[in-house]
Amino acid sequence: MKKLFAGFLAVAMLAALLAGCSGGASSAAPDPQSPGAPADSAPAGTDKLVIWSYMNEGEPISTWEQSIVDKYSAEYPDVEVEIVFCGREIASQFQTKLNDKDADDFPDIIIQNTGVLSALAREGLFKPLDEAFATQAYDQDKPWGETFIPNLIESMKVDGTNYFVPESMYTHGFFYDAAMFRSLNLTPPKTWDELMEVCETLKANGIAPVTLDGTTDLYNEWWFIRFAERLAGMEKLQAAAKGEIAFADDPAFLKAAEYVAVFSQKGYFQDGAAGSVFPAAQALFTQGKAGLLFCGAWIPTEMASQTPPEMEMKMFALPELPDSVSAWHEEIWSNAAGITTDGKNTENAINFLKIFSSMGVQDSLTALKNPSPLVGGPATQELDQIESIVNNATTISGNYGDLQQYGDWFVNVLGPLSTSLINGALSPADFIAQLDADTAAFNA
Amino acid sequence: MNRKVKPWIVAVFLLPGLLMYGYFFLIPAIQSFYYSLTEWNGFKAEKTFVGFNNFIALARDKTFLQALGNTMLFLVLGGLVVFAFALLFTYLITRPGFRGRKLFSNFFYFPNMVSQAALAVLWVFFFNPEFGLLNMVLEAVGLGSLCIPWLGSRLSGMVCIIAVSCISFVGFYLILLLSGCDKIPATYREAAALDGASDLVCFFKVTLPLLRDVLVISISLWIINSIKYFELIWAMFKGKSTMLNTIGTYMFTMAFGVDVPVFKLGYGSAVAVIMFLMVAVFVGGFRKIFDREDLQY
Repeated sequence: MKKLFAGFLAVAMLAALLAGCSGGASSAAPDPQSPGAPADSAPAGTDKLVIWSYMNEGEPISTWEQSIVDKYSAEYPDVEVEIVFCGREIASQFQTKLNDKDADDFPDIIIQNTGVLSALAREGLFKPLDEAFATQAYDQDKPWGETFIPNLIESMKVDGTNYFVPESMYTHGFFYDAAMFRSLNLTPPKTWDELMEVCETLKANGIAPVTLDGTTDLYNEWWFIRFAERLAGMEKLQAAAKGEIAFADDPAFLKAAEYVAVFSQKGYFQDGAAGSVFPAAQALFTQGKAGLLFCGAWIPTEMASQTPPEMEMKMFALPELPDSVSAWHEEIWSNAAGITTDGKNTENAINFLKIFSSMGVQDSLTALKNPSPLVGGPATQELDQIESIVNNATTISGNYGDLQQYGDWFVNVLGPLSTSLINGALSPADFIAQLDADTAAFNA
Repeated sequence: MNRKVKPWIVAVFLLPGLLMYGYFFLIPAIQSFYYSLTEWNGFKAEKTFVGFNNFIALARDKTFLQALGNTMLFLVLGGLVVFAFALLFTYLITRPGFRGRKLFSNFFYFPNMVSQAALAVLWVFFFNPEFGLLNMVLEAVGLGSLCIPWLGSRLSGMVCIIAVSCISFVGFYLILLLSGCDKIPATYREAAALDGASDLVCFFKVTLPLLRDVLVISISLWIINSIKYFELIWAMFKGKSTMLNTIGTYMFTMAFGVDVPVFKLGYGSAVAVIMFLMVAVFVGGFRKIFDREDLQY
């Protein structure tokens, strides 16, 4: 009996091992008879295309990306397309794959956040796309590059060169429930004073004005960065991050820290915000227990399954701050696709990316509450303001003020200090002093 | 008749295992030492040799030192808690006449079988200050004044992490100690009982000294596991909370970036080398001090 049981266990484990060894998602070339395949389409270049996406299989955007692969395969039936959903650690997987550039499955296209892709472009790992952008768009009568929202494409350039095709468009601001605002006779604020009035009204009505995950350094430093961009300007912010000037040299940085500190000083964050772990703050927001969430424009997509039908999620830009040097500086970035330098199927990749960024697929993209990167692209209810926010920006940068390029300073210096500032553990003056001290030590 | 196994037969059977061990562990470990002396982002073959600069930078890196402190807190405080409970349960389960040894052993071991990633989701919500179970229960029993943002400060956050980790680990070390107790002949305890020793005195004067070898191995394992501890903390915070980093999570953040493009494989390798040295020194030193000759019963 024991032997029988042991044998059964061994077989079950072997079966599980074999089942687990099945490969990633791939799209085989569809039936050439399929209605989607135009009769006169011709394959371009080689017969293969390998795409790596940083989505996990099953995420809504991954389903959309798969649909683009299917559309491409219908038009180019002789090209074998393989899309691999690598998850968020795609960069480390790419590091490993660079040891095997001759492999058949070396990625031709990588889809990731531009914050990470830009760092890789600076290493020469992606092909410039300026020439390709001058060619005809897939389904619009203009050059491919001109189909994109200008400020978005500008913010995505690396050292003045285009490397990436945007999949979507993100900016950063305050999310709110329009239905809640209506019930409290509130309107989206345009100035700092109006924002304070909104917070006071929410607080008086027993609603936490702003929700925050106080343990998340990455989101906490975003507060200081956004205010500093407006008050001190990008040039000074970048110089201070590099240690070329001190944060204390410009009172605008202290002012930015003071604006951030106001929220904890006046009790505008939810109780216990300092101990809240991502994504609890977003959950509180969609449950209607907080009035505002200061975050990136992926929130409607990310929270789609948790957003109740009666919630009318919308977004407004960070209001104008007094004494700003750039009153409407906005951050604009994207999840985007780049063509790898060592990929073997560049022409196929360009053809794919033209379909990927065509007007014809924008409706399915925005149906997932993902903002369209195209001029005149469809808007989502939640983000109907986003194109106007982006187009009306006085100055622009990528997300986090482009400070992610100073990787470990950003993680080890600005991150933890910003967390201390926003949670009230450090006063604004001490924050600036410590930031200067730690930046100097970092650069020593 | 004695049959001597021919050495070449032994070698043939050992070879596949040794090859795999060498290829998947030894070679990468040796490469790590080399990478720790370089500046390398992992995207290009070229590595810039920088000597011991990475280690010098680590000595001045506040975030690394904070992570090191968290790791040592986990090692010492966690170790005390884990072994206090493991020894307590060992005492209770090995008392004469105790029934349900298998049931209780399995019960305490069960948390160790649950995936750390799944537990992380549970614990993040458990400690949430707004809707977490802990604060809700405290408020319900009239102890609302004790409600704090549990994961909001370094000390309380690390205490919480240690507490939830210990729940997972106690069962594992309990099993080790129980198997050590099984090897102790019953005659020793019986002789002590005949001389009038109570169960507690028996445990401290007879069982514990004879468990010393097992305890040394168990504590060595704990030292290794706590220095390299990664899973639960990463699953809870995904590297987003610098304050609650351990050196394992810090190494991963520096080497592979995740949210932020920090690709410093050389620096991360230096952290890995330090982890190795810590294990070698702590475990080696501990065994040197507490090891003894094998007991023959």
